[in-house]
Amino acid sequence: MSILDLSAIEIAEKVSSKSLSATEVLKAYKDHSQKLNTELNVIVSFCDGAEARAQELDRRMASGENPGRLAGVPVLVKDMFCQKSELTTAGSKILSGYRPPYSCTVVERLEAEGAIIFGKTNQDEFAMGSSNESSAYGPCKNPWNTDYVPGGSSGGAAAAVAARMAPISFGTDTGGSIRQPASFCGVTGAKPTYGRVSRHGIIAFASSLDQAGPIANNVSDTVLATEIVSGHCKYDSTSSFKDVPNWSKEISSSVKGLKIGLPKEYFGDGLEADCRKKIEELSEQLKSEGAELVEVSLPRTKYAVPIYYIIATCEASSNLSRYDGVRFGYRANFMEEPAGSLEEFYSRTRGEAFGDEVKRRIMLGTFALSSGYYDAYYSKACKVRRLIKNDFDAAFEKCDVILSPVTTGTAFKIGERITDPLTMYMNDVYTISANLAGIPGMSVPCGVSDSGLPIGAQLMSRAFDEQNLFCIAQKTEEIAQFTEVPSVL
Amino acid sequence: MIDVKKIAKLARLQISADEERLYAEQLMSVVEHFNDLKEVDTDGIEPFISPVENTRSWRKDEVISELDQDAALSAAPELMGKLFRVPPVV
Repeated sequence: MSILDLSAIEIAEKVSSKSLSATEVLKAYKDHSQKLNTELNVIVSFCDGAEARAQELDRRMASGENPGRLAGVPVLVKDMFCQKSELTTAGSKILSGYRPPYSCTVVERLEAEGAIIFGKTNQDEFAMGSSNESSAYGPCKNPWNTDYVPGGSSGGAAAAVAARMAPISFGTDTGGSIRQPASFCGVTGAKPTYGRVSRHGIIAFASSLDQAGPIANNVSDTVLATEIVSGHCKYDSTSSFKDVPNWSKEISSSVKGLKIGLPKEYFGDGLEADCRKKIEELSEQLKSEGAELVEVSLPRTKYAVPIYYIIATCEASSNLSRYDGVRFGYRANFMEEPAGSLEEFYSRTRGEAFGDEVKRRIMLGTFALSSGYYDAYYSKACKVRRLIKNDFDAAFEKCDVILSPVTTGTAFKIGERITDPLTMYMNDVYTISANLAGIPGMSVPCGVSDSGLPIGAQLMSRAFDEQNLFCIAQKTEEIAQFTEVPSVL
Repeated sequence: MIDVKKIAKLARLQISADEERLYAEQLMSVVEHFNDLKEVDTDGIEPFISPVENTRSWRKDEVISELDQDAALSAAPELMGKLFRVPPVV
């Protein structure tokens, strides 16, 4: 069996027992990644310090130190995660060449457990997109069919795991950006409860919605990775003080007595037949394993997309105001044509270095927050957001976990939706609500469509009840027996 | 109509005439969709600003050593000594 076929947990076991060294594991993954990257455009930068960190881990182990629960596991992180002295650019020209002077909490916690972070994955610029086409590095390709998008915005992170370039990657999810690409690439992705994972050092898009989480080839690796990065961090005042359960030891695949809610609004006319069939089959199998199926209603679902695109763009227009060409990142060339004013200095730098989609969203947010429109848009959206949360509260009185499709269909072709922002935005209709309500969500592969593209099942639970989410995910994995591999392998 | 020129100015984004035309059209179609929210009755509903409500995370007001000046300046496009340097703008 090749190193590339091992799970993260198996790698950590083998490195801990010294039957593999961190250095040789890293070499295997990096060689494979470099080979595939030309075609897939998954990794936008390889970390300069990865080999040194792997060698250091091997040295520490030789002197008897405990290497941690992710000993020698090669990990890729989305280009949003600041890592000390390593390129971190949010898929944007405006951060070209940026090397942060500190690491984000997620990176620190992964490294403290022996993970070797060796590269940054492609993404939509500032995580704004659902197809990875808005990246300054060009589109990432779907390993199942390179004519198709891998999803987004964590497209590279999902494609990387699907193509066995790393056993675990980390993405961020503001409106589905972990779950949707995980679904499009046939891998497992988790967006924990808002507040579970520190946002410190993760480049901000929309702060009341952003949450980081892992992508892996199986539920056990996903659960362990979530456990490792969860828990309060003093640098993020929104991170929760709640205890982090020992999920990796405690989850079982027993679903006996669990109530699974099927939201009727998620099974409407827009859902492709293949996806509907797979989710319905899965729900029947979960029922035969002892779960109880109940119909639930999330009546305000149709408002999720407009609420999201108001709130996310408002928050983004504020968060992205820091990119001004003064302290870090890109600055326009003022040597030949000096700026006539400070405003022009900012505007030219930002106008040159932000891509189309980012400009569009900054302007939408600026518009929605501008004088005379605040109440009609931002304030109104926040009120309807509470109603969305209330709908979930009511649904979770009738069920423990909600099962639904992740998207209305499988991956779409590169270029197909890029000129029509509204169609692209509607793609997120099933995933956005979990971010609005702050609840955890997951995508677990459950089959392949007639056209040979993966289909994912979405699971959502009450805030801070990842336990039930993970149990059903484990059972879903057992039922689905998803063994198909992407065409690039 | 959205005054794209004005919004771009507020957002500190220099855009070309072509971009202005394109964005005007695209932003309008998205904002039309925003207007769907008008039909929802939200009388008496408190805005939901963040999933973390009613919590305060306090810390002691004390000086801690984090980044030194060199590290904080390390990513600057241009420096003059220990200062960020910008071109003259007036």
